[in-house]
Amino acid sequence: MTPQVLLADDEQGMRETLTDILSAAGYEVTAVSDGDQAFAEIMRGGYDVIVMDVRMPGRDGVAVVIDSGAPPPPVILMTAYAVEERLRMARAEGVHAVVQKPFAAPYLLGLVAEVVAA
Amino acid sequence: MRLRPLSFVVLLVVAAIAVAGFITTRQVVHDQEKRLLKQRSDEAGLALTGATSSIQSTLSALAATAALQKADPAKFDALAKPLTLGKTGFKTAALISTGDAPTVVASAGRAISDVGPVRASAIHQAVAKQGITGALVGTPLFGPSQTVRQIGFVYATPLLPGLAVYIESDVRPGDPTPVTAGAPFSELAVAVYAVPKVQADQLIISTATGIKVPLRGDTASVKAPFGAGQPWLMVTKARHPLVGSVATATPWALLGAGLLAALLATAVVETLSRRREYALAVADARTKELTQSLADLAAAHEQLIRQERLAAIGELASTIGHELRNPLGVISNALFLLRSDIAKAPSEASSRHLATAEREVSAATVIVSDLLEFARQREPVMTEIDAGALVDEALGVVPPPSGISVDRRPTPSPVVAVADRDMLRQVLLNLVGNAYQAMPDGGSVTVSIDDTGDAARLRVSDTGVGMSEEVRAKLFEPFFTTKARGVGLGLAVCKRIIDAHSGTITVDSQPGAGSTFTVTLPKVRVPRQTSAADELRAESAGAAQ
Repeated sequence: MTPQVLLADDEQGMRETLTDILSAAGYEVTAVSDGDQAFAEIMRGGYDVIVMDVRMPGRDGVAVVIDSGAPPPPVILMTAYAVEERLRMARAEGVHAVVQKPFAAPYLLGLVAEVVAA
Repeated sequence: MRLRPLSFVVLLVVAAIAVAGFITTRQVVHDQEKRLLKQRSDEAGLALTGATSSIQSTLSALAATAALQKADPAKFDALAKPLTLGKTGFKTAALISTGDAPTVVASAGRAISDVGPVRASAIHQAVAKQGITGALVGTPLFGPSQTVRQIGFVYATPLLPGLAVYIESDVRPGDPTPVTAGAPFSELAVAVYAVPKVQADQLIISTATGIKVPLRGDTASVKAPFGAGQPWLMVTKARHPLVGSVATATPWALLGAGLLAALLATAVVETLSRRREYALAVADARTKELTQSLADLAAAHEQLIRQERLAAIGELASTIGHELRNPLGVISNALFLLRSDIAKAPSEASSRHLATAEREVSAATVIVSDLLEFARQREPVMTEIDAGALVDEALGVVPPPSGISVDRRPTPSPVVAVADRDMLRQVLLNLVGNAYQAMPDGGSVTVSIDDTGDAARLRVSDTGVGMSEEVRAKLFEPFFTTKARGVGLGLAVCKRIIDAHSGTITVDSQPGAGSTFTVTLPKVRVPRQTSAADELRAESAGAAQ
């Protein structure tokens, strides 16, 4: 069965390139553009891994992680901003990794593969 | 103690006034003394003249009687004898012929054996000046003895033609005549000479008990006429100041009071000067302090404005940096996708162009990351990471330009480093990027990792231009750069990151012989000493995000 990836980012370019990269690596990608949609998708369930931007319209990535409750699906947060306090909260919630933008695509693919393999 | 110039001037002026007053007053007193002395001396002279005129009347009476007795020698003895016995002090009285060689015709008292030249001279003078009334002439002092001298008085008158009356007295000029206090002229010391000048052997009498004769100093002289002969000289000197002791003491009293006033005035002026100087010094110090405070305040204000401006610029740079990260991320992803496409239909030129684009995106990413890292100074989030994998990733992000080869030394087993992954990646990107830029004409970069047991060690070497001692010394300072491009933050950020990891970063380089950067990261994190200022800056940087 193809691993399901939920991708949440408000940047259209980021959404499109990451969708292509993850699809090319063999994942089925559902892309959303804000925190509320991401939360709704997570509630709907069925995702093996969530790749999510921190700063988004509606609730931000960290809020989505906190709101979705335990047991949370494995989450990889991406951020262009360094709001330490928010990232510390996210780490406390047990996100799998926090990735600083811009990142090398193989690094993200490695992290996703790690989560899916687990 | 050193006097202030003003006090010194006051001292000099008042003392000078005191001295001038002293001199003037003393002169006035002295003049007054002289005037009084002169006055008393004149009076004494008159008294002396009175005394001599009594001799004249005695002799004229003797001469008149002798004439009546026809100059009988036998009768003369009886006539003159009383004169030589009485209190008058005459020792001899005689009738002497007045010829060229005078001889004694008759005498009473002490006998005159030989008339002698002195007596003869006086006799001749008296005869010459007798006129019709008679003339008295005195001899100078004479006689063989120095202690008992003789003085004679000749009276010639036409009543006794060819004869002169002569009397003689002894004087002891060496024995001063005592003066009774309260007697007339007792306030004067007097010396009388038988000639009109001071001549020691002609001193007739002196009252200068206890005072040396001839009298010296403030003296007055009076010439007292004596009969028809040469006048006598009387020299006087005051035994005590004639003006009185108060008048004499006045100049000294004035001088003393004046000098005392000078000292007092000086003391007052000096004290006031010192107080004034002290007050001025205090005022000066206060003014200086105030000026300094104002300057400090102005400097602090300026510093505050500069800091606010820097903070604003930092915030702007930070915002722009963050905003650039998203598009850089998208470009980076797009390039990755392009590389995947090219892999399906390989093209050497496209692959090379793609590598250039990837390298430049990485360079831009490093610049933005350096800027943000420098601006925010966050604490590292430590995890155990595979140092080899991180090096490979970094080298993948910045592929070498053409002409440069990369030698990645293999390790027998994975090396684990305890570090903040993003931060260490930033360090590696900086070191590798610098190595490329140090070799504009090509060369090779060697990257090696090893495990020293308690630390992970990473080395990045190049065969580039190297650097001088001076450059090495400033290498890790912010905004120091030798490159035409770049802001000079890369190595400063590397140093800060490695310091935050309690690690070390060193450089070994010679001009023309390439450079080797060595980073050592301890496996157990040593708590870092942070100052309060660092924490404050970290907090405010966090708040600015």
